[in-house]
Amino acid sequence: MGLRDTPRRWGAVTQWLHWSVAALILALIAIGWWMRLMPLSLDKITLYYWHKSIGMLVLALVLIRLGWRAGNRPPPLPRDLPRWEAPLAKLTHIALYLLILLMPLSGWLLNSASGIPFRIFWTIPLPPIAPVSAGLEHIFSLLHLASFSALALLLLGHMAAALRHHFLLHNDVLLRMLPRFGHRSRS
Amino acid sequence: MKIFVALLLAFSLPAWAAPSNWAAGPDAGNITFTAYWNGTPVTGHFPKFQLTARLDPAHPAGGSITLDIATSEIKTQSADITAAIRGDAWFDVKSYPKASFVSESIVKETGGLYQLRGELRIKGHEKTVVFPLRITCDDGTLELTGKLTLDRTDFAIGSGQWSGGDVIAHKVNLAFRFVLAPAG
Ligand code: HEM
Ligand code: HEM
Repeated sequence: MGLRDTPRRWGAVTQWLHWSVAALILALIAIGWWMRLMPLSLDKITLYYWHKSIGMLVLALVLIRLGWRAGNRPPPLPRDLPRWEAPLAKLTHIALYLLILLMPLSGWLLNSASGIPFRIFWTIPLPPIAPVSAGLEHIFSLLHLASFSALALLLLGHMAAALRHHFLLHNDVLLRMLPRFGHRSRS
Repeated sequence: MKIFVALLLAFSLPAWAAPSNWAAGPDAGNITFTAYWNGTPVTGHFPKFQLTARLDPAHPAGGSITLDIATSEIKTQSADITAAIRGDAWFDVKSYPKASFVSESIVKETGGLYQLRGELRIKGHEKTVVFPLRITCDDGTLELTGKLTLDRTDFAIGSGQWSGGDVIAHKVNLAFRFVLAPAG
């Protein structure tokens, strides 16, 4: 498998970025919910630290991914799809990109407005991008939660679509985002 | 005439040298602190306090300084952290809304520097602290400035699971500045 995207498959770089971002985001959602429900404790604070650090890592990975995508031509969708499907897929993917940018950005804003000092992975200080204010903190917290809700809905659709392509439409759409274990079609 | 001036000086000197009463309220100074969380500084302050002193900078021996601090008014750079450290494991402001400092001795050193020794009482725990104090006389007021470093565990600030120093350091730096005006 080459590093770059080809007309038939996503390249190794895109695949690696897609699946690591996917795994990290699922972890962030789990940690995000869990940490909020915990009573104040050292463990809670440490979980917040991990959540914010991984969230900033996701931001970096998403930016790299967008850069890489701009320099590559993605494989076109199969031609035999219903007419509504390709534009819907495109729209969903754009929305997914926007939301996985908005998640860490709203988190960053939230952290800035809270005035809580933070260093990414205990090393790089995160500069504030909003003034310290309880009112703003509340708004950004709602923004973080709202973008999470939208992301969760879209992800359900995204995953269902991927599985539908694989199990119902029997096409390459899922496989071409996966390392080449056993390739289904020659063409 | 010469005799008159000499007499005036002779009478006024002791009066000037006698300890006089001073006071500083919340508008006349500040008490700030810096704690360290995962190595990153977290700053805060005590906006409400009252300081009273009986002090003659030239002869500080008989003087005294008393400071009352409303810990219940503690503020930090973050509303979330402020809410947390008002809680039981930290300042427990419901049970201990006040902290105090009462001097035991003030010793003059060189320049405008003094050595201040006294009893600090926070959250019901007492500890004797000794630290340098700078006194500057200016236009009928006295300015007191200084810094000291405390170990928060001496006062059970951050007890139980918080008593370790890895995440939230034991060391807390305090800095203060008071502008004392004559009182009564
Ligand atoms: C947090 C989780 C995920 C995010 C943020 C995400 C995001 C994205 C985005 C933005 C694209 C568009 C790629 C492009 O056009 O540049 C994409 C493609 C894809 N994703 Fe995901 N994804 C996630 C999880 C998943 C999961 C769990 C699956 C499988 C069940 C999956 C399967 C696919 C497939 C097969 C494609 C390729 C679609 C094509 O070839 O046109 N994704 N993903
Ligand atoms: C892709 C990245 C991220 C995802 C998917 C994500 C997801 C979540 C989720 C699901 C929650 C719990 C629900 C909620 O309270 O909103 C949450 C909470 C939180 N997240 Fe994130 N997050 C991400 C990035 C970040 C970043 C980068 C930061 C800070 C730098 C951050 C800071 C927070 C904070 C402070 C909370 C607690 C929310 C509150 O108190 O209102 N998050 N996050």
